[in-house]
Amino acid sequence: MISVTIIEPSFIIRQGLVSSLSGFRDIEIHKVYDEFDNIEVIIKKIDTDIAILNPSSIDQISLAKLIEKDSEFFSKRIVLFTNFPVGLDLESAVRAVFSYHQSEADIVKGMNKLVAELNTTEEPKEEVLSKREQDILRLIALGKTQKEIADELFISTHTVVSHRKNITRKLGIKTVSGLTVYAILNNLISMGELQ
Amino acid sequence: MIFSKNQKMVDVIHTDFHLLKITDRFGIKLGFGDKTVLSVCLEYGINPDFFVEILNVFHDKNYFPRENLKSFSANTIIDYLEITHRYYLKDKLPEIEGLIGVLVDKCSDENKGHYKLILEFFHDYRHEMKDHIKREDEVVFPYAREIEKAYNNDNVSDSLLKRMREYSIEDYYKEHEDIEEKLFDLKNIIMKYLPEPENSRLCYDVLNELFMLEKDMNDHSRMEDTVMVPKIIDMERSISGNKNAKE
Repeated sequence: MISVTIIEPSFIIRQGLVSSLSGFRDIEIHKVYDEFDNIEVIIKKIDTDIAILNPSSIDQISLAKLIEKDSEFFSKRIVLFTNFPVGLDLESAVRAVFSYHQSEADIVKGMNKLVAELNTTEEPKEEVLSKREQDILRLIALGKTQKEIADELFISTHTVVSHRKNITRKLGIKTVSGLTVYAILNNLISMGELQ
Repeated sequence: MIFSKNQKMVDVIHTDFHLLKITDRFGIKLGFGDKTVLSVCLEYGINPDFFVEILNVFHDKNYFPRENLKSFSANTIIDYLEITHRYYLKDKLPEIEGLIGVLVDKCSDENKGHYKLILEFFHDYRHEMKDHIKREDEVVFPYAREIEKAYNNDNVSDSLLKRMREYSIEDYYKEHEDIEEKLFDLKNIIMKYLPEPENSRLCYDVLNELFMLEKDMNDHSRMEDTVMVPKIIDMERSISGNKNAKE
């Protein structure tokens, strides 16, 4: 997941950016600013992976000054989204440049490239329960309390709770009755044992 | 899009046919003709402003004008919550259980045992819901209505004061979480862990129903937890405050 700040004074373009970027699975919009008066303050506050900024809303000299002050920040995090062609100087000072006139396919391709470069989350993988988690799941399904499970396996109740959390996260099942059904379906317990 | 009461009822349904669930719940029959939402409401004795808000809340998950909803009387809100309860108990839950029953019947002997597990799971779930709803209908709602009556008449009986002290409306709503989690689990079990169904079509129907029920119940508990309960708590506070001031 990469986090994004949007800084865009125009209502319609801001809404357009928010709604198109919301369609990306790995992009999360953190903050949206609609003003440019405090651009210096806003830029200082940016804590997201990237910030999308419309350069035509700031005068060239102020922008150049801002870049000069923190060139590393601009080259890493600032993405320009612009109606006018920007000079080569500006283009090389920022992370990426998009233009209003690019096609949907080009913008999607460019955004996906950014995501691929910045995304630190791992690809989803198949979740497998460890042997220990299976033991605990079995006991949960048999209706044992956390304390009983802890005693039986010679571990602390704290450890039982943390295993239980992992089981729920891995399986996507939260309730005891749901876990019981899972345990039967996967032959961790038999119907006979339940009675 | 936000609906208004001056729109034609038929246009509302064209925009979002899921809203038929709401009209059905309010007892509104088809045959709207060109009537507006307002005139349909008047015909059925429904508060039109409240009805439009319910349509909007149901239609758009981002629309939830909490303060405006709180401005309706507890009676109006509870009337709606009660008809929703009836819809779950009398229509939706038995319907879904029946559908899962058909799914089990159509299973091969090899799979039947496994599919029966979800039938039992849902059956237990339905009974849990029934108990939960029964307590709401028989304890929580009458209490809430009485609080409103005392608040409006500025007249509170000693027995009601005693109940206010003994009973907290907040406690009750903690149960909602468990009810939502069970439904969530059931969907995952069907999608991820049951053996491949022989009758996929039927399985999709069941899932579709479960997803819709889940959404419906989330809207419903949001109404209970964030509109009705805070409204009652406000009135309780004001009643206790007035009582203390008088003494």
